[in-house]
Amino acid sequence: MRVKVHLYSTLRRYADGRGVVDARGTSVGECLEDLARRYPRIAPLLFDEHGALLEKVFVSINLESACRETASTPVAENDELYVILIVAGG
Amino acid sequence: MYTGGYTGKILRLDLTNQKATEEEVTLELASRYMGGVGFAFKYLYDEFPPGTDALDADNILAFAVGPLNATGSPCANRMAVASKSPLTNSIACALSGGHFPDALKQAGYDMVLVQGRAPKPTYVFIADGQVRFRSASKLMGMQTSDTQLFIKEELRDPGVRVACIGPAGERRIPMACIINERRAAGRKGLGAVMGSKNLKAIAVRGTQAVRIADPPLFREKRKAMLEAMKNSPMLYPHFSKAGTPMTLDVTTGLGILAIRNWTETGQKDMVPALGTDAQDAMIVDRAFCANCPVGCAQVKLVREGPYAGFLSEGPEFETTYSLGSHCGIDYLPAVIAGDRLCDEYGIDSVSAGVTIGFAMELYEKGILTDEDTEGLELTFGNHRAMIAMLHRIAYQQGLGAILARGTRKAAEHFGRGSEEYAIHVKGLELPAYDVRGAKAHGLNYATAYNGGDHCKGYAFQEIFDVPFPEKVDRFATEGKGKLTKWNQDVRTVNCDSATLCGFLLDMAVPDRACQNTADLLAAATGIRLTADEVQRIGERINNLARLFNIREGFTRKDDTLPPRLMNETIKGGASKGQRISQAELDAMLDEYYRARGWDADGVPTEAKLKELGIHKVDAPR
Repeated sequence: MRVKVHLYSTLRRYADGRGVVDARGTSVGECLEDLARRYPRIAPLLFDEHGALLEKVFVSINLESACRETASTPVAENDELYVILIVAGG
Repeated sequence: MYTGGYTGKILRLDLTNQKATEEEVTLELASRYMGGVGFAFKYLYDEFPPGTDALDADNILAFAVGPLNATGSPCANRMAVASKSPLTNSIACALSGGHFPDALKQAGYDMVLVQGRAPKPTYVFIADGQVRFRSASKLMGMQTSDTQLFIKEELRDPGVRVACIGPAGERRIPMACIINERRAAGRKGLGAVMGSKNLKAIAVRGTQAVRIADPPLFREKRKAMLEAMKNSPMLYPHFSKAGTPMTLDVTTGLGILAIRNWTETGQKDMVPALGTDAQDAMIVDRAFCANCPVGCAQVKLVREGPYAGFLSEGPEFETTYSLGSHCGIDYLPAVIAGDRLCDEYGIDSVSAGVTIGFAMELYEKGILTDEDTEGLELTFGNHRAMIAMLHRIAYQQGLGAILARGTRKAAEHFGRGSEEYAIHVKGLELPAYDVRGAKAHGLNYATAYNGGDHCKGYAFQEIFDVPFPEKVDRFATEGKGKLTKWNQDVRTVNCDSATLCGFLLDMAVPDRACQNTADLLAAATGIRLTADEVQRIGERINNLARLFNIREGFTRKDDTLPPRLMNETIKGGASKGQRISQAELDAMLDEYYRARGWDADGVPTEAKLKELGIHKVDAPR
């Protein structure tokens, strides 16, 4: 599946300044792994040393996800993933 | 007795008679109320004449720092400004950071109590224990930057720190704030209280070192806290660089960023226009509060367009909402300009923006007409109208004179059903989080002692998924009463009394905030408390605030939420379908009152007061 990934919070800095990038995969996890292969600097912000999604990463599909999506959540063609770092303040 | 941390002195300023006297900070006060809001509320509760109007000369305005200010403890650099609020008519506290608080401590005082009313416009200069009452006649009418600069020039001392009011405070506008440097004790109209006392500014020069009870232990505990800050995955890597605007991205993801007077929450992605990256592009510098290594404040400059030249230390997330998304404005330069103007006029950017957004909805519905707005097209998204209205509010011109009274009073004035669209609790306009999608955060809005104030009991468990003291479902209502009490008590003591920055609590020590404070307090002052005893201080202060409010006529019916939040659901996004119904609110309130040890009407029981060692006062001592 081809999806758009919106990089929010400070993540754009780790994807060559790009705020929206394309990715491919059948699940949230596969799409983010695809993203990390193309932008290796972003990988440690998304995954721990075992490859699991970090607690501080909130992934929403189409800005409709009531809670964070897990790596295994399937995605549909043209879904838009929003990757946001959960930070406290304000 | 304590052997460090505190200066040990409270300064009383009698403006009516232009007299200054000192009194001691007792061990009982220090160990039971810690400092900051604790000191302020204890004195307010004991001395404030019940029923007194907030703008009466008998109201008391307190500026109180904590035991860790100016000790070298990082992030302990804030002060609590407290009084009876002219906006909410409740007891109220606003926090400010920057450098003035530490300077006040180094000038020799843990708290300044301002009483009476000066016969003429006055500013007070405090220099290492010496107090002078000076004429402010030349300062009247000045905006806050000029006021601070002028005082430094007049005193021939660029090292002086100043807390002042602007034109809005001089006019006693209920949303007027107090500005120091580019920081604000922003909310609840405490600038109007200052203006009602004919007090334009307080200037301080402090060179006195603060004694530390146990220096080696203090160094050890300080090091531990710095380590916790360094180990936070968020604090330095992200928050230090991007600041609070990051929260706009988060609340967008959760579908709880309020948009267009809370009618379009979740229905528009405001991040591209107002979020982290948009704000980053405008940053020219970072700003640091005293002795803080984080430096989360950002100075932004608009370089082109109709607002070219506007520079502001901000906007913070809340202002980005109030002057931005809440007004349907997606043009960041306008928000930056508005933020700067609010600082210069000395008005609370949140109350001002939320009230303007409310007026925008009334205009679009035809409740307000072109005649009311004197031809100003007050529609959502019209940033020029927002900027113009800020000026009219500050100078009480036309419609601005009505809006300046705040959303609650403006709704009462307009009538025609406008109360249904007013977004406030107890008269305080609501912050950015649409709490229909975060129920404990909403219960805090309903129950906080000074109205809808996210800072008083921030539910970071719901907003940032912090699993302490427990992991929660933000949409659930069960358990939220107990959680809200915990959040309020922990925040009151650690942030508002010890005056440690709230971002430290949220991002570095969320699971050990009270122990962290206990450790630093013991080392700085010699006062040894357990973490539970520290948290108990927060509970004591919140109960004292409740008693003050009950004495002023508040009841359970004031612990409520705006009609829109209870009767309308969020229409789109991640929190679609959510609201807080009256039944849900009642259930949460019942649980909250039980957790607090209050009766079903929200009145602290005799048993609870005895447990906390609070003696009820019906008349000033």
